[in-house]
Amino acid sequence: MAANDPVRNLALAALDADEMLRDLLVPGADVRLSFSELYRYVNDPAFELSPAAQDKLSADPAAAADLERLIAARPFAYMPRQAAASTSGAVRREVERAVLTLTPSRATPAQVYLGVEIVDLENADVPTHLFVRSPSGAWLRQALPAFSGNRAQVLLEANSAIANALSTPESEVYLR
Amino acid sequence: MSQVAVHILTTEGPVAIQRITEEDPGVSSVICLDGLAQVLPASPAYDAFVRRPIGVIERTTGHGAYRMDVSARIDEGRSWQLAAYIAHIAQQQETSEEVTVFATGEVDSELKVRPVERVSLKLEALARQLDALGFNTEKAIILVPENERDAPSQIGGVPVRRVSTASEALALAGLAAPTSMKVPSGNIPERESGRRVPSWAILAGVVLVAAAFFWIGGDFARWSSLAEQGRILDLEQDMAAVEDTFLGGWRAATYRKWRNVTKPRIGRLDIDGSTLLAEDAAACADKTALEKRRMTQVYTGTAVVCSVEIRAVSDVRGRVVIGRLAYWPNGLGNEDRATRVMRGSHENSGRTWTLEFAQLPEAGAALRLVIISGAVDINGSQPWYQDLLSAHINSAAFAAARDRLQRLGFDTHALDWRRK
Repeated sequence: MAANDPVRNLALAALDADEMLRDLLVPGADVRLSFSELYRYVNDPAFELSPAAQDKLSADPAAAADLERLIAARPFAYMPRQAAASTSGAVRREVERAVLTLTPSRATPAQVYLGVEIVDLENADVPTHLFVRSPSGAWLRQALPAFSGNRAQVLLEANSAIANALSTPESEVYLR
Repeated sequence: MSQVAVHILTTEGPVAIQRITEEDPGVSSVICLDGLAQVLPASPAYDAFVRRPIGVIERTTGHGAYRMDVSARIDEGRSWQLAAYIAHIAQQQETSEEVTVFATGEVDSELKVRPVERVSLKLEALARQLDALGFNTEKAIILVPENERDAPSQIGGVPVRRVSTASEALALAGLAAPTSMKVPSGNIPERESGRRVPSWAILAGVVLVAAAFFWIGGDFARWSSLAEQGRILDLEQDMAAVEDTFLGGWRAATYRKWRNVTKPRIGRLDIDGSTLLAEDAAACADKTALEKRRMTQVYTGTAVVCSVEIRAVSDVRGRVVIGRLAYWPNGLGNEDRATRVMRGSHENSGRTWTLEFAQLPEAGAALRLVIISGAVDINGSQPWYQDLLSAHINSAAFAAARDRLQRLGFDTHALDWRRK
């Protein structure tokens, strides 16, 4: 479905209207994060959740569950939690359709290269971003640059939240 | 330490190359902005400029991944290549004299400097900012491609020189042209880069062990000698002949086990393939204009596939990588024999197969790459290739050929590519 599909947008607006109506009918209830915002967060790399929206998300288990369902629905690849951390310091997660690596920079040790290699490039939509669920349940998103051949690479600060989450064996990764 | 400061000429003014640092060979080379974790869009082109088989930097330095930090943004063109090449070479050389180089130009795979656009604008931008840069104009030079006949002879006292080759540019910058290509050093684990045991010592050990176990006859030593010489078919036939004699089967089986125990560990075999594409067959002639794309199993695009380049490198020192690349224009195994069979060029611990198609691949055309790795290069006849290059990977014929090599101490990998 195209990103600006009018039928999809109408359906999302209807869901939002339904949620707003329910919120209005329940006195004192907090206004929930709208489903359309979650949908855009998962499917539109340019869309960012505001800090207020992120606060709502972390405080609302139902919204977090919606987000998880959206992310887990038909990902390009899913990388489950690992049994143990690598002893070499480098991170490598490999599934049938993709390989994810985290390689420390020799030039600047405070930075790491996130590499994503995919197979079946010709027959699939190329992933545009990855989502990481940390052991605490928090979600992080990283946009991927255009693939060069079957590889995309991002340079990250080693102490960034996304690099830390990817280094944690208990985290889960979705490529979408 | 080199004292050569190199700047890329851009229409916004000169951009300093601040540093070039080797990175892990497993990552792609990047151009970063001023030490930040900000990768510039020209990075994929820089990676191609560095990495073999297309890239010119790895051919010279022996390393295939770098990070280049620059002082300001540069666009996605290729005019930064001449400055980048000079900076890479400068980094390899000890020079005592301080030199400042401003350069623009594209560098092709034969190290010729090719024309680029908007050179006059770049020179005007340099002229505007020259005073602010603060360098010794008597020890500086501006390098532009040979075709820039209208370029001024000097800017602010700094001579402008037109160059047609990278070696000319290096000479004008006071640098020596690299004398030889270096052997790639990446991917070799630290613990394996230490002192190697001499081959004569290994052979002596082999002979001693053989004598101890087989005091009658010399089968063990003879087989080891054949193996050392790479005469693998002779080894196989000799062992087959002995297997029919008294205790011969036991001796042959023991030797096979010993050979498999002592063969180099498998390690990781890095295989990287690229297709070089053009819009039409005529455009294949201009190799510098081809679009390089990483190879996948099936090519579904519409462009003309002019050539392919595949490189296989083992990360285990002492493990020899050999193989054949077969081209089947009408599909794998659909003719009596492949149209082309390539041996590949030998590198230290690896091999590169480059195939420029005389008969361009149409729908259904296929390539089969068979990589055999073991302790030695194989000399003489190799009949196993017939099935390895033509049979389906899951077929009995392919499995039989692979197992045959396995018994002789070699591992076999096969990769298929086809045009949909």
